[in-house]
Amino acid sequence: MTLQQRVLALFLTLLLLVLAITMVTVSQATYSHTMDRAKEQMVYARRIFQDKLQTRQKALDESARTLASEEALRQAIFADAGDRESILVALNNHRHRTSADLSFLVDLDGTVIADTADAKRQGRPFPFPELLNEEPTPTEMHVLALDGRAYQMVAVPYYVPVSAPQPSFWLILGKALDDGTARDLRDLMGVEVSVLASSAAHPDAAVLASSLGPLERGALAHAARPRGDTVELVELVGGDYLAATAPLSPGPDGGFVAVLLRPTAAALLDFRKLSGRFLIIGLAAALLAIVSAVLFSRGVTRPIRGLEEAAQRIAAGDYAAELPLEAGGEVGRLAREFAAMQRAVREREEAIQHLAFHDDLTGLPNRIHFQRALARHIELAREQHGRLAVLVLDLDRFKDINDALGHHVGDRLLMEVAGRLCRAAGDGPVDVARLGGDEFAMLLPVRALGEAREAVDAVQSTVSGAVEIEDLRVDLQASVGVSLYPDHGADPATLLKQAEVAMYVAKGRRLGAVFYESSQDRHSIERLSLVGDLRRAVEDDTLSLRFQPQMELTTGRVDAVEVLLRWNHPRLGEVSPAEFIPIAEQTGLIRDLTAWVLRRAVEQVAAWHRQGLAVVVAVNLSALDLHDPDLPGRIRELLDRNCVAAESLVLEVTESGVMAEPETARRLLDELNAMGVAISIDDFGTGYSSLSQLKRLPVQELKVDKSFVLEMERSADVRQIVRSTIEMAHSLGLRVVAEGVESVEALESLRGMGCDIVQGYYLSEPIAVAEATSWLRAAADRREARTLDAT
Amino acid sequence: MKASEWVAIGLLSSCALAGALRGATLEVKLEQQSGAPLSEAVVAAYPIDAKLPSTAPTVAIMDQRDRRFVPHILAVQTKTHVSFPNSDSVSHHVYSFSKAGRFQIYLTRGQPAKEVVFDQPGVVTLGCNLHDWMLGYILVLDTPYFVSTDSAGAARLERLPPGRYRFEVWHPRITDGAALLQRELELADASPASWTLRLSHALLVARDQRPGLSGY
Repeated sequence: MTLQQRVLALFLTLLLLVLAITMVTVSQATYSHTMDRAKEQMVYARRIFQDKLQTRQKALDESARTLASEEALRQAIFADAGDRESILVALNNHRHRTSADLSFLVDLDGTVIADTADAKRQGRPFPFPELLNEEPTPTEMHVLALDGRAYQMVAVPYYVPVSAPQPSFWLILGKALDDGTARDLRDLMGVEVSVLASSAAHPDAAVLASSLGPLERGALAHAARPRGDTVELVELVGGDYLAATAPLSPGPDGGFVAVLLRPTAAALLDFRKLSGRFLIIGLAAALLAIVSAVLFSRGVTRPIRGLEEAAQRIAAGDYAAELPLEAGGEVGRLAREFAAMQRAVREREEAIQHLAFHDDLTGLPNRIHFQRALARHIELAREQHGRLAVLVLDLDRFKDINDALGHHVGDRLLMEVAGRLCRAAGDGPVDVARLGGDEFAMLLPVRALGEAREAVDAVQSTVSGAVEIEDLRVDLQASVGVSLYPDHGADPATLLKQAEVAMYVAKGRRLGAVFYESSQDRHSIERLSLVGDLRRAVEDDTLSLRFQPQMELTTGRVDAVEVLLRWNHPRLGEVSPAEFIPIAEQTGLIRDLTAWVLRRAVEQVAAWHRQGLAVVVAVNLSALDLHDPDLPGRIRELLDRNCVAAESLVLEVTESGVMAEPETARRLLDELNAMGVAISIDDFGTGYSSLSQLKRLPVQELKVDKSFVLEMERSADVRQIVRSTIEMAHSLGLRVVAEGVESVEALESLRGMGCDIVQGYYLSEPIAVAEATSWLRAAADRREARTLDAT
Repeated sequence: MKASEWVAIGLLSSCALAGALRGATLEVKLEQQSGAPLSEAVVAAYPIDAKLPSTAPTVAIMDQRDRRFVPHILAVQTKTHVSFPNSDSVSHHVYSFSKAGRFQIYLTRGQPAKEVVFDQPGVVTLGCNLHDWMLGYILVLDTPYFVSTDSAGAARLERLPPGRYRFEVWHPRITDGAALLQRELELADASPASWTLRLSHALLVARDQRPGLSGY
């Protein structure tokens, strides 16, 4: 049952109940009131009837007394010759005048002298001797039956002479109480009038006069009559009647009564009319109640239904749902709360959607968003037989820039790139996205491969170019990989992967932009599998160390080696650190890798020390290691465990690694330095740092990048740079190590420049432990021999 | 002439016919319900065993004087000739509708008296058609023995032949029944019998309709 139905049902039930109770109550009250009224009317009618009869009686009495005082009758009596002729004439004259129906002259002894109605009664006793009272009460009712007819009668004494104490005659007048009288009375009072004579001997009363029809009259004779003053219901042939009796005069055995009847139907006519009207009012009220109940319940539930529908629409994701805000009261408040909730949900969903599909930094769509867009474009292109170019851009050396100049610079750079890509896209139907890190993607609808090439070149030239950030000028170069729909694939994931593969190829070969070819796949698969393999290599201890000796030029002593990591991949063979170190850095594996290298290097130093070889090892740290505050503690522990002096360890950090966050790096390096560990700056000259910046760092050694050393032989400029670098380093109190020394010329040249230590193929390539041990022992032996020679 | 004188005449004539002046006596005392004496009532005696003596017709007078019947009540034996003289200076129209004697006579002023013979026993109520208030009674009795009560309500029936009698009392205003008003008594010569009668009902109201009294 819905709320509306419940409200409706409750409303209607209550209303109809109240209505029904009201109807019944009022109906009953009206009925009993009407009946009471009808009974009262019967009582009134009886009073009127009695009054009417008494008036007649009185009139009759007066008439008789008038007759008694009339000269005419006395003269007639004087004139009477015994034949009663003159007396009858006088009586009849008077009777006609007064419209009496009977008139008698009765002798004092009760003998009828004259009877105008029936001569046969003359000379016989008067039939109603009880009527002959010398002191009659004028209002006393005398109803008597004569020859089956009822009469009101009056007898007055006739005094002749008038002074006689006893009357000489009786004068008797009678007025018929017949059907006509009954009908007149009925017309006057509105009730049926009947005159009955009852006798104890006979169960049925005799109906002497009545305004009723013959059937009712017959039924009335043996119907029960109300006793006394009561008004009762009586059933006759025609139906129910209200009945009242009025005693007329007592008879010898029973007497005469008048029965007044009023059909109940007539009495209840007003009630019927009223009931009908009330029923109509009741029905109208019920109808009104139903209509108002429907309207009310609808008024209550419509806003709720509106809310319900709105809630369903919101649940379906339609936030434009209309709410019954105009509703009043609780529903209105609920609707407004609902609207607020709807707004909040929409805003949150938009935020979530934006977060889910957009990059936080640049505001560009993210990978998921791009893939969806790509799917839509593929659908579109399929329908229109078009072609799509998917571009994946990756900034070259971004990681170095990020490390060297800090994340905030990197972020600014990424935002600049995003801006440039958007400009390159222009207003055209081009989607730009940031896939992650420094990787961006673009989607270009193209018609042909040539157009694609042009577009890619345009994008690349837009992105490339110097950027100035915080007074720094950074050259931007991007590697671009391109895949084409439908040439290379038909689904977003495939196209994106292929573009990425092509991008790796471009980056690896420094080709700028590369279109995907299926042969590139192998490389990409290899690269992806390397990560897992490298992790396993660290865990399984399948990495190995190589050692490259360093020789002090002034003394010719070799008492230091640089530790280099080698990975002999079970399937791919030797993998260059240039390939797997970035992977390790990107995946966070570098920390484990560094720890592994340090542990093995220190253990090896300890082993060599035990063999009497005083060797210092130089271990490369990644720039990321400089952010590991636990590193000094771990090194301390490692050295202590192996009983190796800190002075036997040199840590090499790249110039860019230190410069990325100089403060953090310096604190860490200070700590290490305090322990006694020497710090060496690796690959010096490739970065952007100056010697003056280095001066502030706790550095003891500087390694000139091998590209300078190799170039040195061909270029006087480079030779000059190296010379200046060595001189400046010395002026800062740093010793200088030159890498990549592959010839005696180079060695001699460096010696001439005052370089402290050399390292390179001329001396030795990186060699395994056993080889290194024997090499070191031989070198020690040679030195000893030279020393012996010298001595 | 007083009523007692008329009784005396009746008695005298009876005695004369019987030839015996001596006889039995009844003393009657009549009182109203209130105890007041009732005058003008007639006491009549009817011998039960003995036959009535035959008598010659007698004469009685019912005079009209001062628009009244005088006497008011006249008791007569049947077949008595009652003379109606007119002593007034106006005429009278005397009538009776009584069964004992229906008649009407015109008594013109200054004309000789008229006679009516009453041979039926009973009460004859007299009226005057010209003077409606005039009321008189002639009590016609089938016996020669009767007397009227005096102002003290007393009456004395004398010189009756001894024997058994039925005595009756009559007055137009008495309403008591025969049980009270009739009595049988055995009368002897020597000692006079007495009958004291007290009415148990009130008298009828005197309906005196004379002018000035009732609006005529």
